[in-house]
Amino acid sequence: MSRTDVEAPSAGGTTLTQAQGWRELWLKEDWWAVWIGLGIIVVGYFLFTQGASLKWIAVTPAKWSTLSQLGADLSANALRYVAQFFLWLVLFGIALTALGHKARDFVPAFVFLYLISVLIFVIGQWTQANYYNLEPPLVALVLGLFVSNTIGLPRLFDAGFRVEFYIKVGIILLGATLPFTLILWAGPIAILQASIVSIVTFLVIYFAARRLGLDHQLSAVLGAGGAVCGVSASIAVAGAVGAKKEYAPIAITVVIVWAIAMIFVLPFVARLLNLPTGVAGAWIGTSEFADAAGIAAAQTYGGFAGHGIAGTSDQAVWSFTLIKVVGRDVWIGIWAFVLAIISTTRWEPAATGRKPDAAEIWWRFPKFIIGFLIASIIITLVARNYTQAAYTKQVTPVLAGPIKDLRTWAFIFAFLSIGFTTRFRELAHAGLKPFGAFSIGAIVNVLLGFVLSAYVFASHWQNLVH
Amino acid sequence: MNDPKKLEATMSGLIIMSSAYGSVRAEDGLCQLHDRYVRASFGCGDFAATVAVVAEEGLEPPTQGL
Repeated sequence: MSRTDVEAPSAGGTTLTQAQGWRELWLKEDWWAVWIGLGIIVVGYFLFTQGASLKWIAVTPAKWSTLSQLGADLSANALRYVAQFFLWLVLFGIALTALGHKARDFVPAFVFLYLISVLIFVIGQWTQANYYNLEPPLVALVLGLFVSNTIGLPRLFDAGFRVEFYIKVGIILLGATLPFTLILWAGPIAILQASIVSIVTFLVIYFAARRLGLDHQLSAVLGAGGAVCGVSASIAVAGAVGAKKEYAPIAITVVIVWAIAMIFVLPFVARLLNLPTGVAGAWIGTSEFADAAGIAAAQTYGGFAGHGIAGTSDQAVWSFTLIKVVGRDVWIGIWAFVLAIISTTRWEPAATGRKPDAAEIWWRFPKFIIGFLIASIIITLVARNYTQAAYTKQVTPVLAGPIKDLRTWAFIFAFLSIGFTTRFRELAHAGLKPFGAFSIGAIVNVLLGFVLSAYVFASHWQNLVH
Repeated sequence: MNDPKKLEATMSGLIIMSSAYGSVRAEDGLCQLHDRYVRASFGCGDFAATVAVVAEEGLEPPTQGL
């Protein structure tokens, strides 16, 4: 029985279902991302032990400089692309159907998404792409925004444009290329830097909003959006503090406008400043508001590596992930819990219900992070039997490499989905005061994040290596 | 109302960089009586629920709160 099937109206006008407990394992997209991400890694490892590989199905377009080269590559690998398409279709289809989406909506949407993703990947592999700044995340975003805000797509396609789901799968696959030893080494600094910026940003937005006359709840919802993990933090805190129903959409509008602007601004400002990839990734991790937007910016900057920018493309994504996922996302449950206590005891005791249970910290924990950490532990255990040189020669081409290629596909699905679902005219009207308060915090966030990333912890972030 | 599909339809832009299906939302939902977005343990005095999963298991639903 699906969640929607069992929903029934109540006398008080509220209907609440309980998906907590074991049900969460198949009723939350975080867990489905874990099953898919870890499933791919486990199958990849099994094939590796049998002398086989995921490499065949993890096909990507080769670098090309002429259309004839491109045509030859695509036609030679056509069967591999078809197989990969069906792999994704089945995996995502099972998960999204279990979550309550209709297969008849998802399938045509994903066919469209995959075809455009191939196009984006092909553009990114053009040998002149970097010269023209045709970084795949930016091309995907611009194309998606153009289509959704001009031509438009059927609303039913939204069933296949699942930004968060794809980005969570991608981050878990990313864990398989990020050694756990590196997480242990860099994690404490990531948490320290992220905590400093998160607390300062929240307080700046909160008090700026209060100063502008906004109430406690809206100030907190805006503050969490800027300080922790964007839209997800805003809705988590909105629920925790019992915010008026229009507050979350206001915060969503403000966060999205800023997040999309930052995808373009941060990589190009970092490039102007000639920041090493690890430093820029840390800055983006501190200053972007949503995982998907931040990955887009970090991957864009990673693409500049080797073109006058020091560091590797991996370092940009690694440092971003350490700061954003390990340093900021994991604390959302605690932010929501603390603010719920304050709301129920100080702000509006009568209107915001009973005190929260500490167990809510766990319910709100972004579970895909568990998959990310397990993936990292798996690959670290595999790697311990090899020297660095042997790992690079024997493991990377047949295990880590294909997983990385599948991760790139998942990220492209997410970047395109951001564009395809962003219809600016449909966003709630935010108003000048919420936008102003958030903007003050965002500016402080960007400046403080830059100082911490490029000066205080610069040597740490530019030395992220295996 | 805490059905994720309906929440995404109600909250413009929620699906762009987040999701109503994610863990961070827990079981928060819209209280249509007070026009508030609340957590599952809200404990509104006006709440008289037919809790779906409880009903599914054949147990008596609570008459107030969760």
